Amino acid sequence: MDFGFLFSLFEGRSGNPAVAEDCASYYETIGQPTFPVFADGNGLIAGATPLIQQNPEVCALSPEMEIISCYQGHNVYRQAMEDIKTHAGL
Amino acid sequence: MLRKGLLLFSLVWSISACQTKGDCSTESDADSDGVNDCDEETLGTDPESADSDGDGLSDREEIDCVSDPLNADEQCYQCGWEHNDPGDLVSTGSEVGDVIENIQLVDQCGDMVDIWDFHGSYHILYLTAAW
Repeated sequence: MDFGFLFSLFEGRSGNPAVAEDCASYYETIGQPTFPVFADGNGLIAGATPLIQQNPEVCALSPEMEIISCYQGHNVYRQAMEDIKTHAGL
Repeated sequence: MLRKGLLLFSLVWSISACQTKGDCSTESDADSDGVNDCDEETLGTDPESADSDGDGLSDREEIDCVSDPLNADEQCYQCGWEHNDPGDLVSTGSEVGDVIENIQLVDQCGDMVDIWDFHGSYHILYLTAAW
C-alpha cells in the first residue's frame, strides 16, 4: 500500500499565519522529512476539509483524494492510519 | 503514479510499434533531448525541439520528474513530487466522504503544489501550528 504524509502549518512559530519561510524552517526543524511540509496561512485546508485549525488535526485521504476521516488531538494520526488500513482492506 | 505507468507503457509500446512500422528510429534523437524520435512520436512531443512546450525544461527532464512535456504550465517540482493528478478528478465538497478540493499550497522548496498531484496513494493530511 502506497502511503505518505502531507504536513501543513497554519501558523508559524510567532503565531503568524504560516508562509513559505515557516514551512522551510520547520522542514529543517523536524529533520528534513521525505514528505512535503506546506504553509497554509490562508486556511485553505480548513476550507476544504472538516478541519478547523484546532492544533493538531488530521484527515485520512484515499488514493482517489476522498476524505476518509478526520480527527482532532495528539496522536490521532494512529486512528487515521487504522481507517486507511480498513479502507484498503488490510 | 498512474500517469508514470502510462508513460512507461507508452514508451514500451512505442519501441514495439517502431520495430514493426519502421517509420521512425529508436536510434535517432534529432533534438538530442534524450528522448528518441519514436518515443517523441508516441508522446506527441516535437522531435525537433528538446523543449516541446517551451517551459525551460527539456522533454527528458519533464518525463523523468513525471511532468507533462506538452504543458508549459506544469513543471518539475523542486522537491521531487510527481504530477499525479489524473486530470479527471472532480471535487464533491469538504466533508468526510467528499473528494477534496484541489487546493494549492507552498512547500518547503518554495513551489506552489497542487494537492491532487498526490493522487494514487493514501495520505494523512496533518495540520498543525509550528512549535
